Order: sequence, then C-alpha cells, then structure tokens
Amino acid sequence: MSGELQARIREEAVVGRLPLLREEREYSMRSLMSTGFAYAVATWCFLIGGYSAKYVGAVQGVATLVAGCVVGVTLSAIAAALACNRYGLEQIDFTKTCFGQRGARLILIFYYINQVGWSGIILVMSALALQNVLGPEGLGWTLPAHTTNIVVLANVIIAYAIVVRGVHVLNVWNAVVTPGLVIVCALLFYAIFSQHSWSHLASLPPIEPTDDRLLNYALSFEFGLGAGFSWWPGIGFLARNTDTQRNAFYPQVLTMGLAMGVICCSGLFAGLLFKVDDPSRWMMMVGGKWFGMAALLLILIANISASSIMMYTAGLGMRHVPLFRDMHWNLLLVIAFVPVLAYVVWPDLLYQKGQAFLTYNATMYAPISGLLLVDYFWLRKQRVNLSQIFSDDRGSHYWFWGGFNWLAVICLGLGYAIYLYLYDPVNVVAHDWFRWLTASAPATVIPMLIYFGLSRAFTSAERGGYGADTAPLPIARVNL
Amino acid sequence: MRGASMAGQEFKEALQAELHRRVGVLSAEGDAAFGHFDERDWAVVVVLFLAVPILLIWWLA
Repeated sequence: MSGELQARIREEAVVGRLPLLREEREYSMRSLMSTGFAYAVATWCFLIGGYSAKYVGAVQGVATLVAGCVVGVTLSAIAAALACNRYGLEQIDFTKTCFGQRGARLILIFYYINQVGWSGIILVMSALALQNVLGPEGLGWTLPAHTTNIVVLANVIIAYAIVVRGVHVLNVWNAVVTPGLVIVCALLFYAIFSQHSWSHLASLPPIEPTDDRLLNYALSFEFGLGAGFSWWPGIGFLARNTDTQRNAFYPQVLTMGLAMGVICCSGLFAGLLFKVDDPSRWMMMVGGKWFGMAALLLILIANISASSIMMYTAGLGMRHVPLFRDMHWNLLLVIAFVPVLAYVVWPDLLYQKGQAFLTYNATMYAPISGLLLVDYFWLRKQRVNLSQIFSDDRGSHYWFWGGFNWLAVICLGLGYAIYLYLYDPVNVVAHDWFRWLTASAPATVIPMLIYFGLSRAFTSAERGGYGADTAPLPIARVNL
Repeated sequence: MRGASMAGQEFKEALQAELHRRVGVLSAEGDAAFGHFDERDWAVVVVLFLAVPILLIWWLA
C-alpha cells in the first residue's frame, strides 16, 4: 500500500467511520479531562444560566443546573461512551445496533438538527456580541439596520472557510480560545463575588418567574437536563479515541456534566444581578466596558470556532447517507450549511427561541439515551457483532425489519409524545405532572421499560443479533 | 477528503480491506484490553451521578 493511501486510510479512521484500534487512540484520563473541559467551557453555558435566572433564584438555580447537567450527561454517556470505546465506533454507527441500519438515519436527522441549531444560535450570539462592542455601549458607533443579519452571514462564511480547510485549523484556533474562555469564566466569578456576597446573590429574585414556584424549579431542572443531553452527539467522538472504558466515561461526566453545570452558574448569577438573560448584554455590566468588550470579542471567536467544529461533525455524519457518501467534501459542506442561513434571515426570532431549543435537545436525546442503555446493557449484555454494523445485507444482524428496528422507533416516538404531552417547550406550557416528574424522566424511563418487554418478545439472534455469536461474518454489501 | 486525486475504486477497495482487518483485530481482543467497568463503577454511576443529584433536587423542592 502506498504512503499516500495509508495516510488517507489513517485519516478515515481518525475522523471518519473506520473503527479505531486501541493503539491508535490519543486520549487518556488526563487528556480527556482537558479536552472535555475545553468542550464544557462553551459560550452556551452563559445562555443556559441566563434561562434559569428567568425562573429561579441562586440556590435553586445552582442545584438544578449542576444536578441536571450531571444526570443528563450520565444518561447520554453511559451506553454510547462504553460501546464506542470498546468497539472503536463512531456514534451513529453504534446506534445501528438499536435502531437498525436505516433507522439510525432518523437519529442522524436529530443529530444534524442539534449541530445546526446550536451553531446558528451561537453565531447570532457572536453577531450580538460584536454589535455591543461596536455600538453605543462599546465604541459608540452608530450601526446600520440589518447589522445582525450581515454579521451572522459573515460568521457563517468564516465558519465554512474554516471547516473547508480542515480540523487542523480548529486545533490551532482552540489552543488560543479555550484558555481565553477559562480566564473569562474565572474573571466573571471573581467580578461577581468580589462585589456581591453569597447571601446577597441568594436573596435576588428570578427575572420573570411564573406564579407557580414548583413549575419554575422543574423548568430550571429541565434546562440543566437539556444541557446535559445536548452532549449526546459528541460523546462517541471522544470515547472511541480513548484508551479504556473508565477513561472514556468518567471525564465526560466530570467535565461536560459537573464542570459545565458550575460554569452555567456564572450566567445564572449575572442574570439575577442585572436582570437580563442575554450574555451579549450582561458581559458589559459585570466587569465594566473594557472587560466586557474583551470578553465579547473572545466569545465572538469562540463561537465561530465551536460552530465550525459542530458543522464539521455534521458533515461527517452526513456521510452515512448514500447520497452524500462520495460527494466532494466542499460541496457536502455547502449543503450542510444551508439550513444555518435561516439564522441569517431571522436572527432575533430564532435566538429568542434558544430556550425552546435547549429543551428540544432533551426531547430528542432523553429517549434515545434510554433506549440505547436498555439495548446495549440489558438486551445485548454489551456484546455487539462489529462486522454486522458495516453490513447492508438483508439478513444481517442489524437489518431488523427492512433496515429499521420498529420496536425502537415506536418507543422513540412514544418518548417524544410523552415529553411533549408533559411539556411544550415552544409555548412553555406544562402539564401538572411536569412539576413533579419533569418531562425528560418519564420520556426516558417509560420507553425503556416498554422497549425491553417488546424486544424480549419479538427479537432474536436472527433478527437483531441478540445473543448471537460476535465473531466477524462475511459482508456482501459494505456500507462504508 | 475522499477520492480527489486517487482513483476512487482503488481507495474504496483499500478502505474495505482495512475495515475487515480492523473488525478482525477488535473482535479478537478481549474486554480486559479496554479495562473493566465493574460493579463498583456501576455503584458510583447510580449513587453519585444519578441518585445523589436527584435526591438533592427533591430535597430542595
């Protein structure tokens, strides 16, 4: 095999779908802690904390955000991290064992929506940050109409240019951005606690609570859970590149769960102090004009960087679809970026729906996480036939019924229905039970139990590969 | 990315051969090679990462 061919196959293993061998993996406990922390110190933490500040005070906000993030990431990570680590699998490939070869494409749609949605929101946040730096509260410029639209468009173009040049550019960029964000977070906490005591913070009322105290509390917990579940698409990417099972799981919970929950609290405290939930506005108020401008400029860069990473992984995910499998990378990215343009046209409207989008992530990933947990641990006993994941043969293990495991798909639909019955995130309308159960918990647990019962009744070694031998089998139609 | 300068067919065949090799290697490796996630780990997950946070939320409600 030529050197060029070897290099490209190695690239396919690292950023594509080839299973990653143990000796090729780069992360240990320490390096995954570092990378996970870099992920966790993301600018959407400031947004999420602000959403909670609308409904609860400091004590309840800290508890709900930290606990919600930890529980959400734990449920997201437990099956995906251990399976992707053991078999070196990319995350969507792993979902084929539960949802089927074609059913996994449904999950891919949610995966794509997650990446596009968060990318769009933080690109708008960047535009607002730049406007605040240049506008009356910053340098005092008078900005023309449609500035937000123009800046969001510019951000989209920059993000596209970065992704086209490859992930290596992002690594260099992140080497600067992540330490900068850590410093901003530390300075934010310092600025808040040097001027205000904890007892003062704890006494501040929420920004715009509902009349129902328990509902406010449940909403904030749901935001924490949504933040935790939002990490689901990124779990496998890190876990498959980690040396052991423990190292693939614990750092993700400690950084993207616990640490993220703590960082979200900076947005919570700032929101409570200044009565605004938008970080592009309160940054200027916390540490003064110059600190605010520096922090907002850093946020601008960090958000472009984060959205580039998300769109890069979205592009890779699209490779699962036969139509896009052999398409030129640059053209594939153009198609991937098209829906982000909605944020250029309606930036304010879609940015204001960020709270709904946050809980929408819980709607999507809570049932998926629960079903994967049941399938991998309870039904398969952690045994997967790796060869069959890459087989589109009609009789292969994960072909189920026409490429779909309808039992999982139906239970997934049930999970969504339960979630939306209990809580409508767009109109912020909650059922009475939501106050006690949240929406994520029933949307996770009920489909899990039903799926377990249905699978025991209707699947077998031939249909689903449950209990079948895991030795590699011949593949006639490879889906790589 | 794929197949720009190299003949697409050659690349695809090499990719599939590499897939079979990797599947063989990973399937032959024992679970111990990746470390055990044992009962103690499960206890940590259930107690520290699920039960304690949920009890904290319930207690503060």
